[in-house]
Amino acid sequence: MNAIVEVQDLHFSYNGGKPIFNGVNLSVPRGKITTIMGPSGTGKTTLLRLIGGQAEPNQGRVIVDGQEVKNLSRRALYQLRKKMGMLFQNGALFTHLSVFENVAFPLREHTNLSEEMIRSLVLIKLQMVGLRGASGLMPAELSGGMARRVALARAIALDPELIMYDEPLTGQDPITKGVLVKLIRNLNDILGLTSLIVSHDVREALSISDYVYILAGGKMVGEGTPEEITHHGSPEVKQFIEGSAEGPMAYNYAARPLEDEFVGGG
Amino acid sequence: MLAQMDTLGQYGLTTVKQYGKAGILLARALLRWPNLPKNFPLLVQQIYAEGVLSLSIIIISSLFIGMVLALQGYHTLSKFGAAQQLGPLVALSVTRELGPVVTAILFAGRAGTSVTAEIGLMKATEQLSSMEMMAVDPTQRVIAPRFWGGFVSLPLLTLIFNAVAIYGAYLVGVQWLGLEAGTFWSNMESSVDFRVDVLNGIIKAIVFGGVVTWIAVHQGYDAKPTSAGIAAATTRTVVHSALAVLGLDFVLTTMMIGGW
Amino acid sequence: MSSQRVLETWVGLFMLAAIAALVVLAFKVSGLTGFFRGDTYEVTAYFDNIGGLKLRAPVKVGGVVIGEVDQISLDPNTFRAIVKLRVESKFNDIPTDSSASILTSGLLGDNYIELTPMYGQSYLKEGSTIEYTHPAIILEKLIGQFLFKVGGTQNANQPKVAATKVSDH
Repeated sequence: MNAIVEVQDLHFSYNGGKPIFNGVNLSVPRGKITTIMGPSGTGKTTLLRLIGGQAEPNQGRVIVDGQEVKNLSRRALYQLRKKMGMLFQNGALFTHLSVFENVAFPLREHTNLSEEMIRSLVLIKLQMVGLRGASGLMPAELSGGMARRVALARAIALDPELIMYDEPLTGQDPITKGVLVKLIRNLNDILGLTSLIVSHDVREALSISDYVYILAGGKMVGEGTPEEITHHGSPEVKQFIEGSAEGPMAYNYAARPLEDEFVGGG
Repeated sequence: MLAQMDTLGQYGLTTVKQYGKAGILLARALLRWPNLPKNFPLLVQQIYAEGVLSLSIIIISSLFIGMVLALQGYHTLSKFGAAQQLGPLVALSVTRELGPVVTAILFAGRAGTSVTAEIGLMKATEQLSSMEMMAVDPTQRVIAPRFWGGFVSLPLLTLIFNAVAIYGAYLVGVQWLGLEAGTFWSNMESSVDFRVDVLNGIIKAIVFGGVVTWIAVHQGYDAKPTSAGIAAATTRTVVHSALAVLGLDFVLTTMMIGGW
Repeated sequence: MSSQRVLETWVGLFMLAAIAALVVLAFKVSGLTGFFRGDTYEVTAYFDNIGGLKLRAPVKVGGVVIGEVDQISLDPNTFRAIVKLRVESKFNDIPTDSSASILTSGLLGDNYIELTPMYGQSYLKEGSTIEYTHPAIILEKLIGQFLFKVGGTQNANQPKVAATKVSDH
């Protein structure tokens, strides 16, 4: 199995509402960084939740590490999740625990390591994200970027095989973006992880990805290496890469024609 | 007319769904709670947060309630020349009704709302979700300790409430209004039966503890992840808890007076 | 984890305070005296009418509580009430010919059983029966008797009054 995650013909909607995925296929190769991009609201976060087993597909299969997620028992699912790390958009640090305790959390929960070992591991992970000195702070005292880096340290605490990043660069200043991007690439290579990034920061994401998928309207509208994507022929991909409001993907929310709004009804 | 029926029906259905969700949450909190040595510190933390930190409001309220009861009771009983029955009056009112009910409602206001807000916020900021993704069951780690913490704390708080309220009545009745201390206590002793009055009051407190904490936990878990949503949830915790406590109090009292 | 220690200490104190409150409530407020879970013996008594006697009503001798009512049932043949009393074993010198009466505590209080010891040589023990019993005083019957007596006196007076009046004219 070269792909750690395989998604086949995925159909999904929340509670019978608008369909979020209408037949999506993708595979995440091991050891590489795969990015999923697309306009806001196309359900990129939902995809991560499906992979993590927090939601079940209406149709199609989500296979992680050779196991179909939907069929796993609760215990097996938890075992699988230990191999995955997830970085939430806002970090989702535990507000009542210090930075150190946050990173130590998975270690305390899932291992029987001694306090010294846990301390060493936590400090190593924090050092990797450049925040070893902040171990005594509380999450409320951190800036957004720092919180995300701590969350990243927490996500790699158990040395998972797959890390999923939910919009890690969104809303960050250029320096933090640059730091995070390099961090993601380095961690992937040094620790031999597989990374799955969900983002719409085109330039940064393309700079570190090995493979890119573009999702829009519940379907995959383009895929390929960053090279291929930049020179992709399809109009949807072009619109996204260039960031233009004109194009096949609707920018304006559906409404009455402009004339009617101001002139017609009055 | 049909539109009203429709709304009523929908309202009924949503309420039933709510109860269903609450029931499932409770079942999970009760059943998925093994692992005692590891999670015991969590329980202790929650008993502290819900019980110990509620002590100040409980003690102050009970003191005042005892004092007021004694004051009012004395003035009314004196008209019948029955001022020495003040002891029994206060003791029975407190142990049978006021103790469990008032403690439960105060608890809902202080600890219940804090539990609701905490759980609601943890859900809104995806802390519960991230816990799940780290293969840690948030029900075991977050919800269940808070539930058991409240369940254990409320009877303890009620006991303290009862004792302090009666002490407050003693202060007013004996020290201030000049009743005879010996009569006060001996009349009380002969009128208050441990099993029927004190113990039944504790049973009520145990039931209330379960219900109030259950409501608090469920409202937090089910809150909409916005600031308005959490505010609404905390309000609902207090209102629903108060109604549930008063309603259950009536039911329990009926059963107890009828001799179970 | 020293803050955990502090928390545990506070919780421990909290529980101690609650237990202390319980003890106060038990002994000072409700006068629990560690009732008869120990040595007791059971005695049966038959009553014509038990009035408002309830289970666990006290059994007293000379006003001192020596036991409580354990069970109340009805004899299907004689239709008398069968009351089983539980007496503390240390009171083992109550003569078998003592009488049991059902009295009221105060004017409007609860019923209790008062044993009046007699002069017999053998004593009550487990399984004994009390021969002499007085039923409870039912207030309504008492009032009925009183009214009947008063009404009778009035009727007796009336003819004399009428006779006097007639003779005056």
